[in-house]
Amino acid sequence: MPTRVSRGYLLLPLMASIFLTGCVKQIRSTVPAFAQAAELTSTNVQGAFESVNAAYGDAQNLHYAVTYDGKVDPSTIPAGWLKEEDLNVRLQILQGLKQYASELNSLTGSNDVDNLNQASTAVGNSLTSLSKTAQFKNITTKLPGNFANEAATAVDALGNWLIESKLKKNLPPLIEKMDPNIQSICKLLIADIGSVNTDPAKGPEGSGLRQVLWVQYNSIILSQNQYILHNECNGAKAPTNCFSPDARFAEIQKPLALLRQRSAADLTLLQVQVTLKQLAQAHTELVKAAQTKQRLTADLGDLSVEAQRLDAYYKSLSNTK
Amino acid sequence: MTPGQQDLDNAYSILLGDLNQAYWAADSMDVKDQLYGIIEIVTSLITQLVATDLETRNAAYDALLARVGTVNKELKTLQEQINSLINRISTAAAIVSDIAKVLSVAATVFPAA
Repeated sequence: MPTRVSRGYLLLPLMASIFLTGCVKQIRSTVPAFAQAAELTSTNVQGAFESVNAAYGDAQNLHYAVTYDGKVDPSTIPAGWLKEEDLNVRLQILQGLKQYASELNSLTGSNDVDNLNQASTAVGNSLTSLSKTAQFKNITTKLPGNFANEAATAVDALGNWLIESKLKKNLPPLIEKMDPNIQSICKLLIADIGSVNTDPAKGPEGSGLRQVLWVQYNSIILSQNQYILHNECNGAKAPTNCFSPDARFAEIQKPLALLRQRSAADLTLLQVQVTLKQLAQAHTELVKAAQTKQRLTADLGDLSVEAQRLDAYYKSLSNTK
Repeated sequence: MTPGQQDLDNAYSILLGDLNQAYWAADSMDVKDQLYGIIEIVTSLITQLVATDLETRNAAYDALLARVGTVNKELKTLQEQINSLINRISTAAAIVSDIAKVLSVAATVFPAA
């Protein structure tokens, strides 16, 4: 007959098992929610980059038309604000984050594991090669301190994480291991977008993509204004085919539309930064939730709100044309 | 602290802001054309500066170095002419001071320019 002490020994594994099952259930209900929010975030950040790029491409076409002198080969004009290879580096990093989210989701019980593994391996391989390319180094080398190496290591680590088979592993340590890399990748993308002073009374001081976008839009706006002034029907220098009042009115609307488009594009990039910050924070909270077995509903809610806000921003860009 | 790449970017950006104000305040088409030309080259220089890593001393660095030299020569000319180009005294004075700052920072960041 078992003694009280030996009964205790028998109960211990049972209690531990109940406790662990509870924890696993907890983390398995939190992770899919995080994964969905992270996937939405990555998709919307990709959409934002593509949308800003396309809107700028349209503005650039207008610039080509109003500065046309027959000396610039149109095939040499970039299709957007970023060269295709430079845009692709950013989109690939975001694809890595998206795939990471999908993997997390699958580890908590997806049936389509084989397809997902194949996709993850493909994305993982592309990421591990990406961190060695000149385009990737272009983004990181100008970042302060030793951050270039940190960012390359983080992208490489995410790639390797996606390649490794994780199905038999314990989820919380996997998430914890990835947290510094997710933080570094978000930090890299936020720093790459940079900042700009948008007060027209001051210069466009800043850094990164936001500053470049702002000053280039400014140049396009001025070129449109030059075009209007050079084609006005006043004075001896007026061209033979100068603007009719209606044509003049229509041309004057264009710099105003470009101003709105520039603000919308800049706000979209700003919102990308806010959303990425929220993603980084939610991931840290996910790690804590895995450690403390608590839910992180508030942070996930915030992340979803920011991701949806970003969606609204970049979709509104097409209305400013 | 020795001025660096970001300081040069800031100096050109502040100048760009004042050139922009001068452009919109200018009365004559000729002055607008001249300021527009300078704004175009300063914009292109800022874009190049953001995209180039000065530490690597590669082909992009050499191209930027040459560009800074050319642009700064045009800025020196503008610095001498600006008072006769625009009537807004405060903007003209700001541009003179901005160009002095750009030339001084550029001389540190690109001693060979």
